Amino acid sequence: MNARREGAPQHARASRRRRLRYTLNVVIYVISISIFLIAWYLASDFFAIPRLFPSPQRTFLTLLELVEDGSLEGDIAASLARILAGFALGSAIGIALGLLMGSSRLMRYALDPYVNFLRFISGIAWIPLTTMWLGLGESSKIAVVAYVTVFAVAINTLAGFQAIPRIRLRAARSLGATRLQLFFLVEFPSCIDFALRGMRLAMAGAFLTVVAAEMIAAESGLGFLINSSRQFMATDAMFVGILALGALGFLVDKVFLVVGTLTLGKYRLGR
Amino acid sequence: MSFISLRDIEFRYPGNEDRPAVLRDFTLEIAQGEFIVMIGPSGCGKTTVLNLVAGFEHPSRGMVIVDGEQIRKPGADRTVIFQGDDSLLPWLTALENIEFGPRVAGMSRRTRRDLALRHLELVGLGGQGHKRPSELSGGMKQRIQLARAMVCSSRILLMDEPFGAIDALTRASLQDELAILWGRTRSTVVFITHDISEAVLLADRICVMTAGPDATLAKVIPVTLPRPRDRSLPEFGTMYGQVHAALSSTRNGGAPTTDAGE
Repeated sequence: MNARREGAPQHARASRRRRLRYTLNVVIYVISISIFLIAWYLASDFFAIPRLFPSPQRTFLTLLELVEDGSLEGDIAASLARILAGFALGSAIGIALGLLMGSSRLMRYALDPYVNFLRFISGIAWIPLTTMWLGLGESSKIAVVAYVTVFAVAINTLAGFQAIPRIRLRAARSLGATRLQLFFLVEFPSCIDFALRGMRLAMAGAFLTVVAAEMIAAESGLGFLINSSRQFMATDAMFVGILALGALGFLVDKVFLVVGTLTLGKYRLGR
Repeated sequence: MSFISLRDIEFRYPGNEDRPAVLRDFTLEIAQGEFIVMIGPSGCGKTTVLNLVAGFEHPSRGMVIVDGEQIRKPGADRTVIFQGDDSLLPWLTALENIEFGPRVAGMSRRTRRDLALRHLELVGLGGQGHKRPSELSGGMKQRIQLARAMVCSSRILLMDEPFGAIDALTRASLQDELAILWGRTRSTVVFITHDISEAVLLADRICVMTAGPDATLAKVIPVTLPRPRDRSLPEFGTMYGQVHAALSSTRNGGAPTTDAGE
């Protein structure tokens, strides 16, 4: 009774504390980034050969140039399109595979050797082959990104399946759920959180792979930007490409987290 | 003929054939509308008995018969209430959890919502239906489980230490409410506990089990105290003593085991 009466002010205090903590997090972020920029500035100005190690100002000016002529936006768009297409395809296959392996013992043991064999073969190792099979166009890059996404997502979805408390399944069956209802109303929703976590991990792999693919066989994308800048010793453009990759990954992950929590939050991502 | 009958049950986990059995020579007949409490030292196979009736496990020997039919799989005629809250679906609200049984049975949205609301009131959680299990206390979650089971109006309720993880005060009120609800519905209940006063408060008969392996029934103690029962009456205390004595004798190895001879 007492707890309920005190509930309202307590709630207000809690939300105030949460807002304070959020502000503090932002401040820490800003300080951390500032320290990095200062260190970068000092390193480039006093210790390094500017041509090999461009300063933050030089990099920023190059960034503006590349934005102005539209090439950076084009490269970002190209990389992002490949990542998202491959990631979506790979996630869909990975979730299906994880669910299949989770719900059927036969499938689990039939597919386990393939999953645990293939996941150690880097997507990059396949790039020469996929370009021969699928050509130099988008499909070869999308295929490789999808490939690396599949395993992280499948293994996490399967782990989600195996983490379902036994009494949750038993309770549902004793309430009359059929095998199919058990799958759609209990098992599948129980795996969503794990699958989303797997997707977050897989996103990093997708970024790594797309850059390699673009360095080997592409005419656009951030990987292409970095690799082609080598010919002109344009280290500042390389820096721009590298920073853009990190920033893009950071943003995509945050968007994924926020959208995932807003739409599927009741299954518990980001809580 | 009895409503639930467990005949000459022997149970071993599959693959453990050369190890001693969990249950052996276990026979129990339960009448319709009876409230049976199983009590015994931990690891004695109380939960196994419940799992056999629920259809989660199958006896290695012997038969479990409910209303003339042998149990082969779980079904909504025998709903189970577990200890702890892992059995509720965390992404559903309290109300949606209660609706689960009617939903899988194909009841229409409106009808099952009404039914669930009524059962929410019945367990004293009216107005809390929109909350998710993570927002509810342990006692509230057990009430939701109770409502979720009762909404199926199954003839048999199987309760596996449902109040075991609840604080003493809340537990006492949950016990009293269960006694009242059971008095109204008179479904057949198999209730597992290690709490003697809980057993005396609720049971028509208390089944005391021997320690496992090779666990079996040590003693069946009928409780004839009038309902509603009062924990403070001397008769309650006498009954408590009787059950306590029966339980202690199983722990001291006083109960016969068939292990040595075989």
